[in-house]
Amino acid sequence: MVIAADRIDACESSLLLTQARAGDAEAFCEVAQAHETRLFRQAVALCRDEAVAEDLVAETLINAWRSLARFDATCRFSTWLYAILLHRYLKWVRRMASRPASLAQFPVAEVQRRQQAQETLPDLGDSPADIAASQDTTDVLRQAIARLPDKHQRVLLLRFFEDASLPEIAAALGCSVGTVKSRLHHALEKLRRMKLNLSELRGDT
Amino acid sequence: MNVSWLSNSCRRWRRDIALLASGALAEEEHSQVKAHLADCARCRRYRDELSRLAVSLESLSQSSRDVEPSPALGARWMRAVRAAPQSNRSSRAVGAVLAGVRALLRHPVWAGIAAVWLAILFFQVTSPAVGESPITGPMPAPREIYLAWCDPDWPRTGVADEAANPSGRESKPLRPKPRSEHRPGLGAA
Repeated sequence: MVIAADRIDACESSLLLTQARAGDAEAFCEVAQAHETRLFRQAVALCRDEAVAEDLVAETLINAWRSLARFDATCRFSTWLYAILLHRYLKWVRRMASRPASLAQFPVAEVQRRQQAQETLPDLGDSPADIAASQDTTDVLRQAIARLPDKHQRVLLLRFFEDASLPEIAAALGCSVGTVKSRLHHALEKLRRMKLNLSELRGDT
Repeated sequence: MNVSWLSNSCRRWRRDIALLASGALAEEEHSQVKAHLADCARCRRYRDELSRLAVSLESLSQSSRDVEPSPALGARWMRAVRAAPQSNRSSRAVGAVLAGVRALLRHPVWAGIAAVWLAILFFQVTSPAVGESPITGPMPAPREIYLAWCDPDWPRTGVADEAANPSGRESKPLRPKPRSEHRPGLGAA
């Protein structure tokens, strides 16, 4: 997921982060604003609810500002932000799992988005049945990831959603590269054993 | 395909094959893994399964590439950032300790151990200390305690009673009264 990478690289190469670490809130706002859309799309890919995704992004950026002194530039700033986003997301998942199920938790926004997609996407040549099947397959994979332990989810999502390298993942999570390799292997192995039917998501559609 | 019955030569390659499928294997290690894959059909199938999984994961990450945040999102977090100062070292340390306690209490076993420990601590604080015990001097032998209990004048004969009652007034015995004392009529008879 590469979004406005040139803009983000320009911000990272500047001295804005240094100024932000010195306590300059305006410099931090300028740096973080370049990552806002990217973070939001990553959050939507995780929780598929745009309202929740906006909450997660706001919490992530506020949390990043408060703990900016801990960012030691051993990984990209975007990777560090994504690690915070993952932490907030997994916390939200635990909070939702501990609550009793109610109609308020039903993803109404997702259903509306699917209906809109079914109305607009036939121009691309897919039938509504194909689109619905693809969405269901997306949900299957998302639910399979959610069944993994937190430590495996973090490594897997940092690798495939943030496109972070192994040393960057290790720096963002505070563990060794060997641990990251092992967790990535176990995460993929567990997903493979779930025998998911992923024909719609393999890029064949 | 269960990993448990894989040969050792295959099992040692599985992690590198997973890294290769996810695009995270270092370039200098590619040749060794590919040499093994050329000889092992089972590991090739394993690589193909993981590669399809990796493609699916990348497709999932692209599933939200068209969504845009609302214009109010930026104003929302920027207002909070401008209002909130960066945390200093001491507050971060307190936050880390609290986060550790919360993580500890999330597991029922550790929460139970913490509850038992707090209960023991509570009783130790609320019970009198050893130095404040009304019994001074060496602890009497169990036989002496029994004989003292059988003595009708107990505990007035004890040293501790004199120390606790320096005025010399007789204190009531701690033993229960005979039934006859509760019933004056029977006692007179």
